[in-house]
Amino acid sequence: MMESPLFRIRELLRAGESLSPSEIAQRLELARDLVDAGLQHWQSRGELARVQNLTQVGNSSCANRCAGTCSGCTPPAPPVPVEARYRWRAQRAA
Amino acid sequence: MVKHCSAVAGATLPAGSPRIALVGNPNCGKTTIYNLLTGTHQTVGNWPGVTVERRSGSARLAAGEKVEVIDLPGIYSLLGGGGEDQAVARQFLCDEDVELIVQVLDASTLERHLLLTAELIELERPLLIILNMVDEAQDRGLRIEASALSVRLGVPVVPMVARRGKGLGELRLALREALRAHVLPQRPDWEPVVEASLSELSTEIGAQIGEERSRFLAWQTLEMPESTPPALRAARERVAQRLQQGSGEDVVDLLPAARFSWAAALASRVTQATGKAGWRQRATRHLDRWILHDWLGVPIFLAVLYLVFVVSFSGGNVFLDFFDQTSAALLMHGFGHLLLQVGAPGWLVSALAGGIGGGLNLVISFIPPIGLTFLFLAFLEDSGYMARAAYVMDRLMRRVGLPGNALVPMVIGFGCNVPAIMGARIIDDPRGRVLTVLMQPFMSCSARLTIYMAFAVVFFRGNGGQVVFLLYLTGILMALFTAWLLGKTALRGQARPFVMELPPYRLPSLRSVALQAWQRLRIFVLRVGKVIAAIGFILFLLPGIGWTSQGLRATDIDHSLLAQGSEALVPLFAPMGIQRDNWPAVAGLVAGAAAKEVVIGTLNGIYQRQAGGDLMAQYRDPNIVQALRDALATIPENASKLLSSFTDPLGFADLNQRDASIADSGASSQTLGALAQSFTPLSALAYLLFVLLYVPCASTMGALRREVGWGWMLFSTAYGIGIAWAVATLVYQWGTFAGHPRTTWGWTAAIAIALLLLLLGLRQQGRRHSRLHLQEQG
Repeated sequence: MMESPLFRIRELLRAGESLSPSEIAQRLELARDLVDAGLQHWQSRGELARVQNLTQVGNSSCANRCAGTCSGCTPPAPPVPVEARYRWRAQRAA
Repeated sequence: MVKHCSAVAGATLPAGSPRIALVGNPNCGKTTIYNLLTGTHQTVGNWPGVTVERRSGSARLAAGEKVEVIDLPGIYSLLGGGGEDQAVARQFLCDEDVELIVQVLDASTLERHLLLTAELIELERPLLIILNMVDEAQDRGLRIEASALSVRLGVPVVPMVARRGKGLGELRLALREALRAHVLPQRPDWEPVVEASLSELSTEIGAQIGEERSRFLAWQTLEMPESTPPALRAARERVAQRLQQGSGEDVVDLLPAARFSWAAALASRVTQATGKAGWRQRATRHLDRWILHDWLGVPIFLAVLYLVFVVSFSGGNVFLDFFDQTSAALLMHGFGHLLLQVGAPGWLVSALAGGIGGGLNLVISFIPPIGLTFLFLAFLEDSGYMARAAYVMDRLMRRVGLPGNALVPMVIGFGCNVPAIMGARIIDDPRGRVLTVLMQPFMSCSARLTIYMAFAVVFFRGNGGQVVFLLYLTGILMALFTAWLLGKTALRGQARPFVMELPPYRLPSLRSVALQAWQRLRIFVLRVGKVIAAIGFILFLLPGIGWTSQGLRATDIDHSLLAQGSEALVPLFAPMGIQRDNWPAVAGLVAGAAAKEVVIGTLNGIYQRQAGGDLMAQYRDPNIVQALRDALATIPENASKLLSSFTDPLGFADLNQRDASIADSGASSQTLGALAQSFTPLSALAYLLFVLLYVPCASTMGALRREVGWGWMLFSTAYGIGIAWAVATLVYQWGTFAGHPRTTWGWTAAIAIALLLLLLGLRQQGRRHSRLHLQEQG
């Protein structure tokens, strides 16, 4: 029973990291939608806290901070979408 | 189709219509399948929460074989969770008898959908599975073995691509067979300790309360201890303790964990990875990089909305004059001429051609821009973008104390506020639901669009799309402000977090988008046209009666009771730019509290009647062929002006130039011409803001009362009128500041004081509410 995806999601989050659904799915080799369902379960049980997303934006190589629009620099990489991350509440209390 | 039960082809169903219930997770295609089976055109959308009420229709499976199909709101679990919409589905499935439950699974997210299958199996009722969206699963590089799934579940499984109508024939056949064979699904092999506990408890339930569905009740009792009947509490405790002893886990987690294990294992057995992800997955990944971006997401959403309205208005403008002049030539002048030819009396000709014909002319004129708006909105909904809009708005929504899915009812509100208010049922937090309901009256519905279009054509012809966009945006901002204000005062609290799912992008089918846009346009034309024509007819037909020096006497419309009553109210609206001679504007607002389409209907009726004599001359001697030629010539002429609307984005430079607006409007109909005479562009803008923000209509207020009660309904009415007046007054006063600076400051101060008093009153209410809440808890 402890091998149930539901408990595996919990154990992973209990380890202390803030993780996004995609990261959890990748680490546990689970379907993303099953991870969403698992997170919904733990959220309804009041065990999860949502951590504010932060978006990583690639920097341009231009010293003038032109954001890649001038001809002399490489344009910045497109922004990397960062999903909402979740953290186990008990961890925060500890 | 994958058959599980033995079929007897050609056998007819028993007499009477059997009932089948369509059930499944939100956004898995239930309503699309319902529409396919019943031939109806219920609203569908590529986001969760479009259906919030159950509905039923009749479907023909074969000659002489009919079934009743019940479409239920999307549901994740029979064991709690979700908003009131999910409670509707849950109650139906648990309490009502149907001959067959049909679960719709999204093949591309099979694991999650199987969690619900596990619960449906335990209901011990005949079940049929539709494996929908197999094309999307393939695009993800997955192939689901429908036959293997059928064997393991013990029920028929029908693969489909419902959006394209693929698999409908197989589904009809499978339904016939399943209804006849009545085969129950195979129960999963639960772990021995789980199975033993469930069996023990269900036996006890059967013995104590004799319930038919004792097996499902055993699950419910264990997972939802609060719903356990007193007679079963001891048995529940005993079984739950035994279950928990072995694992150290709470039974409330243990049983869902068993379903997770089963769903994951079953999905892996019936799914084959076929290779790399397809174009849809790749496109979704690339598009979402930008569309879901934390900082760019909201501006992109606003830009999309802006483009929708600008392109709709500008594109619609090309054909607007053609529709206007053609319908005026045929429905007013031609129809009036025909009536005169058959010897109809003058008053009847005026009432029918001016009132009804004029009203229809007004509505038909706006078909191009409104039709284009509906087309673009349907495209966005079908593509999966609207679900993204809810996602990116989540942060903004949470800041005002709401979950991101509060945006879903707001989007529905662009069509009509009534279903939007009902759509708030998807929000499971009662506080969030009340806030979401109270936001909806500010969303611009399609009835308000008629008024915007009429004024935009007259006063903002070159940049009407931008003005309409600004009005929509003002509505959204006012809705958010209302939620923020109430969330900080009378309804203090925090938004409950929720995990949002995003559907994949879908290339909308032309048929589906055109059908949805047509449905909305048809409803709009019929509903709005009916009201405007009826009011026009009544205002023509009713003799003008007014107070004279000799008491109540027959008068013309300008001295009627309607005019006298409206004139008495004009001083209230004077600060927002309505002059004494513009009493029809006030009459329109008062009547418009019943329904927004009445505003234009009333203005049309009054203006047409005021111009009755001029029109009669046109009825006598119309030149319809020439009018139609002129109408046709407006298309290339307007097309050449199309670019100017993009190059002059907001163009508010001539806001107080009445003559310029009349000249630019090209307003050919009597009503539009009279509008141009009665307002300046600035007072028109103030009037439109009032129309946007005050009471939407009687039906919306009725829905509001049903959903959140009398108190909030009355608050919403008073608050809406107050905010509408304040915003319209501030816009007009500051727009004409140079002419009367003291008055402007005076009104601004008065409004600021009123807002402060409102804030204090709401805070007081919030404190009282908190005290009561604490007392209840303590």
